[in-house]
Amino acid sequence: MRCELTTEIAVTRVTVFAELAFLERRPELGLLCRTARDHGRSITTSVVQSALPGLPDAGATNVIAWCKMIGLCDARGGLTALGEDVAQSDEAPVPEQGVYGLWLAQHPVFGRRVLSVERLASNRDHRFEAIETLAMEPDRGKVFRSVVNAKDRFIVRDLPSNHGQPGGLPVATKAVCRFRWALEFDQARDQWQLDGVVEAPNTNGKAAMVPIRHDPESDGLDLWQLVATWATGPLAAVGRWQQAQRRLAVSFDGLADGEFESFRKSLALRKVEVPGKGTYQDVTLTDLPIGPASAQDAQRWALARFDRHLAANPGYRSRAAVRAQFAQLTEDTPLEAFAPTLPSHDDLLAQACKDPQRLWSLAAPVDLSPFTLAADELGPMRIGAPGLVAVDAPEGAVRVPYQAGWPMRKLVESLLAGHVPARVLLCDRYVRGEDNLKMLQLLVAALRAVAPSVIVDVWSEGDAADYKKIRQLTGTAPRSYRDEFGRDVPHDRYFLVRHASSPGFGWQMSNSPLHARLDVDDGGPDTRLRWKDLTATRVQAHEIASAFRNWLTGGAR
Amino acid sequence: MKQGTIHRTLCDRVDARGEARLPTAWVGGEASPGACADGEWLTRTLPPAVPAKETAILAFLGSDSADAIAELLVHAATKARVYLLVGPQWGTDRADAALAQGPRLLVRRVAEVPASAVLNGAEARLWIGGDWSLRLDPAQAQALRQVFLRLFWHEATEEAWSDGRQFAWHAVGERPFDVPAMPAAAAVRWEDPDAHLSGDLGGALLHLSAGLPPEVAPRRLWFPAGPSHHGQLARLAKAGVEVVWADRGLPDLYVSGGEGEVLMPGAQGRLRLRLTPSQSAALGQLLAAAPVWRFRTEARIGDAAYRNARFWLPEEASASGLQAEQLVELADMTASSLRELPTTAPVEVPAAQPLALTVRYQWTVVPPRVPAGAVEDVLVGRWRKLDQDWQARLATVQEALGEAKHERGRMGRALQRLQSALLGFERTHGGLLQRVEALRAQRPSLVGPGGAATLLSQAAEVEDAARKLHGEQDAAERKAREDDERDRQLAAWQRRTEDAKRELPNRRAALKAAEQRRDACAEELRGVDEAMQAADKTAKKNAVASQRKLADDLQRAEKEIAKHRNEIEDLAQQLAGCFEFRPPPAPASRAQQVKGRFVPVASAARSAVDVPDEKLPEVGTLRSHKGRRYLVIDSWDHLAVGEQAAARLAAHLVAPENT
Repeated sequence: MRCELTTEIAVTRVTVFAELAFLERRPELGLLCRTARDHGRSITTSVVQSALPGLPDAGATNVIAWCKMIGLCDARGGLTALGEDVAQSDEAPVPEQGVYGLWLAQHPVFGRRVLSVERLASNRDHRFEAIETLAMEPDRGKVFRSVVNAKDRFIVRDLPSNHGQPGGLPVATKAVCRFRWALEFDQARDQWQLDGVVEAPNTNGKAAMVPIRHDPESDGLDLWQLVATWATGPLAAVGRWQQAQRRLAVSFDGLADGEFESFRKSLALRKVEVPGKGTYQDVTLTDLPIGPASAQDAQRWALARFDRHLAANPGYRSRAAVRAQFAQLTEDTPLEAFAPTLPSHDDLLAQACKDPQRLWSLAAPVDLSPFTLAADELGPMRIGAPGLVAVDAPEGAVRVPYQAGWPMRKLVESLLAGHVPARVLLCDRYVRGEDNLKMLQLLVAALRAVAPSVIVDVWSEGDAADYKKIRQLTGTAPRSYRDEFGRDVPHDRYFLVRHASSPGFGWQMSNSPLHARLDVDDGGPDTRLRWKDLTATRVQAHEIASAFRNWLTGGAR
Repeated sequence: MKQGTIHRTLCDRVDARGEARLPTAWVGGEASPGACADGEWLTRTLPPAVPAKETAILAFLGSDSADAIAELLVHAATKARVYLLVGPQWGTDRADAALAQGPRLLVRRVAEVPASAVLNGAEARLWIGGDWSLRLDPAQAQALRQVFLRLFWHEATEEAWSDGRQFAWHAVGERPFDVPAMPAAAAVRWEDPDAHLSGDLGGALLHLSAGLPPEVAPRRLWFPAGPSHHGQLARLAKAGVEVVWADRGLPDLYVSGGEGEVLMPGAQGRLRLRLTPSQSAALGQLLAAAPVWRFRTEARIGDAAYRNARFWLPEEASASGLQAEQLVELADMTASSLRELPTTAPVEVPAAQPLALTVRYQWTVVPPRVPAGAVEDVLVGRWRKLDQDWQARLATVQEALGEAKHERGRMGRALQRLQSALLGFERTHGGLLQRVEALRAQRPSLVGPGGAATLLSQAAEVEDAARKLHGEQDAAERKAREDDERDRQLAAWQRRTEDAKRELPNRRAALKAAEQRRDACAEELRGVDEAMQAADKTAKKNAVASQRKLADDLQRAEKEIAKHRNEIEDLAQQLAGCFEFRPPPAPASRAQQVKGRFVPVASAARSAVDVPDEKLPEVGTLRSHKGRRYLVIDSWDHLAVGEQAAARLAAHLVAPENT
């Protein structure tokens, strides 16, 4: 989330008699301040004498008095912020008095600031009656940097006057100054900057305008606290701010496609206030995190995302793929907390009755499935709901229900069906990515927990780097789909088991075991996993591709 | 002997073949195809389809799909979803359009659909061909469903669904899963196109719709009647196999004991169905029925049992019945001479077709004909030229006689004194004209070399006589014209003499008067000359003028005197002269006066006439080709005369070219 606050700053130009101090290169004072910084952050006689060996005490006292006078230390010798600056930059203020032209600006964020200064020659022009009380006095003792020449830094030490009322001669100006404040909420960063144009100094009356050069500065504002403030103001009409989740709970109605896809929304706020930092008009708040305001919104939201995904990616989807897709579109999103539900197969078909392509893409894979589908698989699926502990798996099939919490060892034992394999083969197109490889590691561990000497083969698609990682996990070099299948690659995942005592067999799987996920950082074969639907159907050698048959009979490698 | 125009002659010969035998043949038409009633498993008449209870209906639509479509239309009217597998060409005919109105119909095209079938849950029916449908048991239905799924998800190339009016086709997308292959023991399997029946065929009822005959000997073999494989079929028939055929549209199948197998045909793959005992029994009845065709060896075609049969012989494109008589048309023959044409016949004839009870050989004899490109013989040209010269000479004579007659008319009108002479010329002219007419009625080519010389001599005589007549006419005319001129000149002389006598005195008087005027002028002139010498200037001027005027008058008088003297001299000369005849200039010759007028030719021209030494043929036309003579006749009536003429002229006697 981010926004930019902008406002126009009025610039005042005035000619005043003042005492300024321009920061000039003074290495000896820089050395003195650094020495003080390293010795209790205080300028003392010993510190001065340490920095300036041979200086008598009286001389050191004079130096300290001078440092106090120019503001490098306070009355007790403590190093001031200006002293720290001198230690850092070797530039120290050199006081002077005279007549100056000042360009002044004022804002709650940066106070009363001198944007630019020019030295003027004093003369007797007898315009005493034109001298007015200064409408804005610049902050004293602050180091200002000129927006015209960034090398010029100066301090307004005093504005000498009669009766304590500083006065000056107003001068017309064409300077324009804008204040821009960029708030990056996700990065907890704010930056403000001035831009515009201002008269160049010492141009002998010619009003040459030069751009304002200003390095961004940060105010250190607590942004999320600021949003909480706005939640009761301009955001309240849009939704309910959830401070803990740092998102705005909104109604699904009126959300644009991109908004419900990205869970981000842009808002145009007519007026916002930053407490103590001003009020700003016409603010655009972009990428505001949003989530559903209610379970009903979450359900509609989830179905809209699902519908949009199906429309954007037409094609036949098995029921397992539909369930997995719905879970992918809702899990780890603001929708998950509301546990939206995927409608049953029949309900989805009813909804798609006027869209033949959608209808057939969903109906045909179920009507024409080679394997019997369990009744609960065709029923509704609620995201986040714990899976059934026991399901009616079709004969000759192993089914891991959604969110069943099976550990990897349980799946492996089911697939091995009591055999101790000599070799297994995982055929999966997507054995890559950190999460999948972590699951492969878990699968290998589970297999070797049952059969310590089992050889694990992997056939997959990927590049050399992927294959290298797989080999590190399995100990054997993976084989590519292209080498094994040519152009007729299988769609499903396969898990094949070969052992010495009986003919091998295999499992045709509707999903990959590598799509399971750990809820903890470090897990083992017995750690409960989060599963999407997975149904493995046992197949014999004659039912599968010739490459698999070759592997089962030892023909491959 | 033949008469009339010479034509080609059509000849024939008839042989009987009732005892001929056929080594191998399919014999059909001996019996009507055996009927088979509908049963529990095998039916031709489907009961009315019951709307589907299932939500998904699966169907194959093969080439013979009318019944399947009818059943599908019933299901399509319900809310059931219908999945179709069709061939590449499906989607164009009316039946397809009817299905397109079903709102829940998904169609996929595969390279080939082996047969039509409908799966409605556990109920399944497979159309095996010839309108026969086989009800499948649950295991078969399940296996067939698996075949459907495999083809649908793995083999289909295009798919379409109906919008209620038509199908919109597009390429199939990625399949959502893999469909396992069928086990070898499955009741229904999709196999390679070269798959064969796999059971024990020895002693079976075997039906093959294509391919080769089996190596083993079944009890009864149904094999497509046709021209091929007669050798293998003869071997099986001799081994006791009953080789039969009736085209019921059935696929390859066999039934043996309680088992059997159906193998549907296909170019991309074949569907194998293992039969249950019940299905085997039903198909066994079908294979035990009476056939239409039987394979025979050594069949005698004259056998009465085959009178209405049809025979399919090796290498024949189709079956044929016996043929009562085969007409064999042989190539045309050319007779060596016109006289031998009726007896010309072929030495060898081709064999008759195996199914002909009699054979009639027929050929055409072509007479010898003048070769193409033959031209008129030189002898004919020479005679023609002689005839033309003959006619030209006589025409010239005839024209000259006509002109002489015209001249005589002119002379008669101009010269009265020739009237008597012209009568004599008239008589001579009439005689000559009769002779010319008589000669023009003849031609030298018709009388041959001897007669031609006589005719030419007579023509020369006529020409001479005509020439003489003409000369005499000219001489008579010339003399008459001189006499007329003499008379005219004499009359003119007499008239001039009379005129001179009458004019001469007048001229003399005029001469005298002129001489007097001249003298007067000369005297007056002399007086002026003298006066002028003494005259003053003014008088002198007047004298000069008078002198000039008198000189002119004197000169004029002198001229007049000279003129009168000449005239007087001419008149005196006329009176003193005698008459003298001046003959008129001779007229230009007639040859110069009238172009082309007849002038008798010199006798040297007559001696150059070329008379051929051979007479033209009496019949036909004489032509020659490459140095050889041909006498062409077009009628048998000229045969004898033509043969003689051809012998005389050393020519071949032939018919016209286009005969």
